[in-house]
Amino acid sequence: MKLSQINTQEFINSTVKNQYHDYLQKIFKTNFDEKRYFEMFLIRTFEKKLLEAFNKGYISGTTHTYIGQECNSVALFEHLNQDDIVWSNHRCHGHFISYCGKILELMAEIFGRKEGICKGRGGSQHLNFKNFYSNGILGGSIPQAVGGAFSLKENKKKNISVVFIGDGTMGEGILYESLNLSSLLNCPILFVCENNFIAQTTLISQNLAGSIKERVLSFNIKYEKCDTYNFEDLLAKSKEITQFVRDHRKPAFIEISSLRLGPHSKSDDTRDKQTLDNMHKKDILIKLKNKINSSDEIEKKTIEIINEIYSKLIK
Amino acid sequence: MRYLNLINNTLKNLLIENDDLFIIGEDIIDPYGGAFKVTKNLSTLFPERVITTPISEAGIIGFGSGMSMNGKKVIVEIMFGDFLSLGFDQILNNISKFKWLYNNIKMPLIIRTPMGGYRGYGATHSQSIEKHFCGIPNLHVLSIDRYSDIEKIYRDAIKTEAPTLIIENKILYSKSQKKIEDLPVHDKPDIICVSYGGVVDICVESSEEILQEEEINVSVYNINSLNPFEKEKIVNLGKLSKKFLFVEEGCGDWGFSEMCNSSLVGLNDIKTITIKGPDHPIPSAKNWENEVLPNKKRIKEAINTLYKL
Repeated sequence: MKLSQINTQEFINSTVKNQYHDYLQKIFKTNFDEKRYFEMFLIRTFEKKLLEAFNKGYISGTTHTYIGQECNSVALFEHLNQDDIVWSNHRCHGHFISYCGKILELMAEIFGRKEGICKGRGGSQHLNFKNFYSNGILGGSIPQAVGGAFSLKENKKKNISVVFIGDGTMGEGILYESLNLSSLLNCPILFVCENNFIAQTTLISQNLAGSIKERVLSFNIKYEKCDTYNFEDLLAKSKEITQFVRDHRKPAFIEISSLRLGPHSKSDDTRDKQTLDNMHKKDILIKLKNKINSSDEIEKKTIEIINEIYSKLIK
Repeated sequence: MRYLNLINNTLKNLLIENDDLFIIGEDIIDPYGGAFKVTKNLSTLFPERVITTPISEAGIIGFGSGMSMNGKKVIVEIMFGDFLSLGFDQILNNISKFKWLYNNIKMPLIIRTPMGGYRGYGATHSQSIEKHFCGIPNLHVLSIDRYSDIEKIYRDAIKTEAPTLIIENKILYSKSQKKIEDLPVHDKPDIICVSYGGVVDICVESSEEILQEEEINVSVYNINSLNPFEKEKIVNLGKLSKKFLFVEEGCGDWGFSEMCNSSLVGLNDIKTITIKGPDHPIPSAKNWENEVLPNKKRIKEAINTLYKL
């Protein structure tokens, strides 16, 4: 089966992740790189479409796009399943798509429709499906993730809890209460810090004293670091650290150096053009596309899938 | 049985009956058993499920809610009600919203804490700050006093599978528990006094004394559910008397008395007086504290004033 033969409607209907992965497996056979690239491009296309919808006035409210950080989510969720607890943040669409692939329900939610994953109650920042949750206040839901991990431990299950934070979250006090609790009570939780070196518009140099690593190590929590731009390493470390938490029933922390290619929200980017141009030149998706020697077929098909959802919603 | 022992017994029974129930809080394990001894002996009986925590009010409230979203029942103790403000964001922006936002998830979570003064603890250990939590949608706020059915209130709260804040009162811990029938209630009261928490007791004493001294009939009623507020109860009392006294330890506007007053809007010729805590921090000096919190002198004066109106 070729990619061009994907029935987009069938794809949309089968977007609970396990199903769509099986589905994509057939298309991509054993080529995981193509599958990963497809998922990254799906997240990026989704996010770009949202910005378009905002510009055209189809959606009200706000959004925080994941453009540039897609492969973090793709790499980590390869080693998570839907019985693991996931707490995401305001920049949650990529994580949500990687968790369950329910792109139609996600876009409907952001469009404020009752078909949305939370019936239009949550919008962009407040999502829930099975054990996936996101909330809009920085750091606010870290203790829920730790408490969830404690429940998993008590249940003697092999599942883990994961919470996504950013470099900006390092300023929130609740993070340190949660790190302390997780270490004291041996909670199987993975803290994922996607460090994009900018908190809204404030650079990390104005935002963070000392180092993230030393803060984490001081709680006696295992720390690992990797980089969006070394995808092989990101994949390997994601596998290793999720397995560590699963096996040892202890917390761990992974810092992923990343670049946010888009604005914080919709159009609030204060970085100069030169800086942004340089970042875009490093875009990991271009690098991966070259690596897998992809034709434009993946892009075309992805855009077709997103467009089909979009056109339904703007009717 | 004393108020303290009744709560302790209730918690013990809940632990016995629910092997998925946990109690977490600061300094709650033996030999200390909590700053007010409410959890005394519980960690000895259930060492795995009564867990002492770091001093992190926001953290443990959030942690408890995370547990309760994943198959556990959780009771979080906050040592002093004053410290509840450290967990305010967790309550306001997180746990009270989750059930509604996240497809009606279950969250069997109780946060219990003692409020109230009259102990000389001063500005940061004597307040009654529950009004700041009472306006939060989807957060039940309950108050237990000497006349409440404590065990039933706890049992019902955990059954709702929604976050509940239970306000205890530290002056009551050492007192013996009574029954709702023990409240002074007259068929044709001259005045109705409505209150909650620790000051219900002072209202009862004032009512008994003023009956002897002035032959004024004052019925006293307690409120157990602060949010949602027991509005109907007050509306119905409006049929029995036109004169109301509302007494609370809380201070400033936007509080319990305002809720009571607004419940009576629309009834003719209603006269009310409100007694509250001070519009400044609670002083440590014992006499000064007793003077500015609701006391028998203030209550009896108000009753006399109302009676003459």
